Amino acid sequence: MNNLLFPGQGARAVLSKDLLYHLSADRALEVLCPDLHRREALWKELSAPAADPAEITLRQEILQDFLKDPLLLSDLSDLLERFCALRASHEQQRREEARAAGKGNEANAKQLLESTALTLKRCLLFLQAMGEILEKASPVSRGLTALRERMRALTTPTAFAELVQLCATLESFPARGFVDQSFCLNDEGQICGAFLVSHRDLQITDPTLITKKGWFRRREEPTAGPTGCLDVTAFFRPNSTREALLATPLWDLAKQLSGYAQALFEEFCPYQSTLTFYEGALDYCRCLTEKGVSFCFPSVNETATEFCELRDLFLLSRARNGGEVIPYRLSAAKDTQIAVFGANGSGKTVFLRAVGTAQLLFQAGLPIPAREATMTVRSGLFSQFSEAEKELADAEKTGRFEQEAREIAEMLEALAPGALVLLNETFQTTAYGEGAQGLLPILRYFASHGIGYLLVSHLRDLEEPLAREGVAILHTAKGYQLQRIP
Amino acid sequence: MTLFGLLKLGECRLLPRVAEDLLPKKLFDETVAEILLSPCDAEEILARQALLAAFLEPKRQEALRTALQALLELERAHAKLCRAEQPLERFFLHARLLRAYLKACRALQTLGDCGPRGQRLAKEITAQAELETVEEILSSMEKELAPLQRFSLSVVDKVWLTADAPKTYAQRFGEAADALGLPTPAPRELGLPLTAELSQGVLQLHPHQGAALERLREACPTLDIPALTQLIPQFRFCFAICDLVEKARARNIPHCFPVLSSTPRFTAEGLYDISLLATDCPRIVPNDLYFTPGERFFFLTGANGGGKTSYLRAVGVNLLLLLAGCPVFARHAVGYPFSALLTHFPSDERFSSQGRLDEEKARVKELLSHGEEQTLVLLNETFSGADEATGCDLAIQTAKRIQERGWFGLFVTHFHRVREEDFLLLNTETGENHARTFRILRDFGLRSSFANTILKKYGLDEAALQRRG
Repeated sequence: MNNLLFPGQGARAVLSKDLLYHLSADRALEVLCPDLHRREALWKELSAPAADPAEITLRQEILQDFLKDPLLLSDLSDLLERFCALRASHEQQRREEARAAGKGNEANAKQLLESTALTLKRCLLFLQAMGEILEKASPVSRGLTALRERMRALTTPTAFAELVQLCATLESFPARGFVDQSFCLNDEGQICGAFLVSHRDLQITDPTLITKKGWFRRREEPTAGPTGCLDVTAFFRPNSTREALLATPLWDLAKQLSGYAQALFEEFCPYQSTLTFYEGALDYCRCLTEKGVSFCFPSVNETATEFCELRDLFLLSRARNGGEVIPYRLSAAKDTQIAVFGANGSGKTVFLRAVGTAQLLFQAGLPIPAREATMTVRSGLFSQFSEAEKELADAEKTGRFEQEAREIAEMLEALAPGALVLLNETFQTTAYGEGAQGLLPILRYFASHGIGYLLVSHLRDLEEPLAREGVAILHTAKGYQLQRIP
Repeated sequence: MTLFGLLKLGECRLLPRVAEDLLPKKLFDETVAEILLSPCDAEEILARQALLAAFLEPKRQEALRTALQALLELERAHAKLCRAEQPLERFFLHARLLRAYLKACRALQTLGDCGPRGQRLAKEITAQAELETVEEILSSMEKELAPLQRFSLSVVDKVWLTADAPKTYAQRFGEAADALGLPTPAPRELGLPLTAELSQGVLQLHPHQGAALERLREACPTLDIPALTQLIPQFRFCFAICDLVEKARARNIPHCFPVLSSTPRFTAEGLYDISLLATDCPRIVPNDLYFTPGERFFFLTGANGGGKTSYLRAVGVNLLLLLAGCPVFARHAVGYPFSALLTHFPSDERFSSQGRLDEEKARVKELLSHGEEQTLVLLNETFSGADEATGCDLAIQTAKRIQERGWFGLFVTHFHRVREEDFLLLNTETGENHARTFRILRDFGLRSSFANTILKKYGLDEAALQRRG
C-alpha cells in the first residue's frame, strides 16, 4: 500500500515471530473489529508497523479526520469499490484485446475501441466524483488534503473535460458512419503510422455530384475535388489487406486509451485496501467508545514514554465496559529498563501486555486505550514468554530452558538499538538461581546496546543487582497496582 | 568511382588446407581466412600495419565503427532500392540511398589520420564522390517528398483518398493526457508496404511533386555504390583482428607489429599459439622462434602432449598474420615476407583406394610442388602411418629435399632416429617429475657439435656456403 494516505515506504519495525500471539492481539481484534476484511487489513499493519514517526503521525491525522467525518470514509470506500470493479472488467477487456489483436478485423477493432473509450470515460468520472467528495468534506489531515489536491490537479484542468468529451465521441460508431484515417510514410515509403481522425476535420466533397446549370444538366467528370481528393473505391476493394490497414488505427487507439485507464487504475485502486484499514480502525475506535474507554493518539516523543490510564486491550475486548479493567500509569525514558516483581496473579503479565500492545498500536498509527500518552518510536518489538514445551523438538534440543535460550539467541541476532524487549518469566524454566545468573548478563547486554526491556519475573536474585545498575524496579500491590521501589 | 581501398587484396595464393590446419573457425571466419590466405608483399604489409595500428587505438575505434555502420546502412539502402516496385516507394528509397551515401562518404573522410591507406581513401572520397551535388539533390528531394508523407482515407460508401492530414485522435488524446500527467506510450512503428494503387493515388494527388522528383532522379549523378560497399569486408577484417587482439589481451597475451627483415628469417621472443583462445585451455605458454638464414629447418621431437603441435601452429598462425600485415602475438618478432606457407597436418583415415602411407606420400609430393622461392613448410607427424624405419627414412628424405631448395621448415615427428642425422633439433621440455612445461627448447643433440651449430646459425656451414654460390 504506497499512496498519499499510506506512504508505506518508510522504515518498518522488526517484530519477533510470536509477538502478536504473546500479546493476544489476535483475540482482542476478533472482538474489537468483527469484520473479516477490515480485521485482516489491521492485522497486516500490526504485523509490520511503521518505524518512521512521520508516517505514524500522518496515519493518525487521517484517522482523526475520518473519526470526525465517518461519512467521508464510507463514501470514498463505496466509490473505490466500484472503481476496482471497473478495473476487473477492464482487465477482462485487455485479455480479449490481446487474443484478438492482429486478426485484422475492422468490426472487432471498432467494438474494442468503443468499449475502451467507455471504460476510460467512466474511470475519469469516478475520479471526478472522488474529488467532489473530498471538496465537500474539507479534511484537515495532510494525507487527505494531499489527495484532494491530487484530484484537483487531475479533474480541474480543461484537458480533463476534453478527455471526457473525446471518449464520448468514440463510445459508439454509427453503423453507417464515417471511419476516417490518416497515414504517414517513413523514409522508405512504407506506412509507419495509421491514425483515426475525425471526419469533421477532413474536407472532402464528392466531385461527381450532378449539378444543374441553366437548362442543362452537366455531369462533372470525376476529378480531384477542391481539397485534392480522389475516389479510389474501384481499387480499394474489401479484402484482407484493406481490413488490416483500416483496423490498425482502431486497435492502436484502443490500446492507447487502455493505457490511460490502466495508469489511473494503478494509481487509485490501492486506495481501496488503504481505506479498508481505516475502516477497521474506525470499528476498533467505535468499539472502545461503546465500552466507555478513553483512547488517544499518542504524540511522538524522541526521549520518553508516558501513559496515563493505559488499559490492556485484551482485557478490554473481554470486558463489558472499560471500568472493569485496571488502568496503569507509567513514565520512563526511552532507554529505561524496567523489571516487575510480584505475587502470582497480581497483574504483572497484564501490565507487560498492555505496554506491548500500546507500542504496537501506536506504531501502526492507531489510537491506544489510554487517556493521554506520549511515546517513542521503536526500531523493533520483541517478546519472550515462557511457554509450554514445543512438540516435535529435536532430540538434541529438548527441554523448555533450551527452547528459551534458543529464542533469546535468535532475538539477539535481530536486535538493533532502539528496540523494546518484553520478557515474561524468562529463564524460570530452570533452577531460579541459575536462571537469574544466566539472565543477568543478557539484560546487561540489552542495556549497553541501547535496547529497552520490560521484564516480568519471579527471579528475586535479579532485583538487587538490577536496582544497583539503575533498572526501574516495580512491585505489584493490592488492587493490581504497581509501585516503584526506590 | 575508383577507390584503392584499405587493403590491396591479392589472389588467394595459399592452399585452403592451410586455413583448415591453422585457423579455427571460432576465431577466424571465412572472410578473414580468405584474406589471411593471400600473403602480401613488404609494401602492403607495412601499409596494413599502419592501418591496423590506427584501428587498435581506442580513440579512433569509434570513428571507424561509425564508418562501417554507415557502409552497412548504404548496402541495405541500395538493396532495398533495387527491390522496390512502386514508383512512390522508389522516390523515398532513392532519397534514403542518397542520405546513406553522404553519411558513408563523410565517415570515410574522417579516416585521414589512419595511416597512408586511410589518408588515401579520404582524399579519393573528397575528389570523386560529388558530395556537394548529391547534397543539393537530396535537399530538393526531401522538400518534394515532405507533402507526400501524409495522406488520409475516408471510408463510407466510397473510399476517398486525400492529401489532407488533420490532427489525429491519438494526438488529441495524447495532448490532453500529457496535460494531466498521464503517460502516453510511443506509437508503434508499422512498416506496412504501400499498395500499388495507393502509391499511384498519392502521386496523382501531387502531380507537381511527382514530376519534380522524376527530374531530380534523372539529374542525380550515377553513384558507384559497389565501390564503397566493397570496403565492408576490409573493415570487417580489420575489426576482426582488433577483436582477436582484445581476446588475447584479456588473457595477458602481448602483441606486436613484427619488424620486416630483408633477409629470410622468422624469429620471435615469447610467441603464442593464439588458436588456443578458441578452446578452454587455461594457460597458453609462449616460446621462442629460431628461423634464421643459417638455421632454416628443424625437427621437433619430444613427449606426447608436450606442446609440439601447438608450437607448430604458433609458427603458422603468426606467420599468416605477419604476411597479412597484422600484429603477431609475441613480445618481439622479426619476419620476412615469405611467398608461401605450406602445411601438412594429419587428416582423417579415409583413404579411397590407396593406403595411408601412399596417400601421405602423394600429398607431400604435391605439397612440395606448390612451393615458391621463399617458402616455409610445416609438417606435423607426417609419415607416422608407416612403420618406423620407412617413416623415418621418408621423413629424412623430405627434410633433405626441403633443405636443398633452401626453404624453411619445421617437422614435428616421433621418429627419434632423425636426431642421429645432421639436422637442427627442438625438443619439448620436461620439468620435475616428468611434468610437461609446454616449453620448446633448442636441443643440440648427442652427435651435434657446438661449433657446427654456431657455424650453421651464421650461415657458415658447408650447405649454406654452397647455396650462396
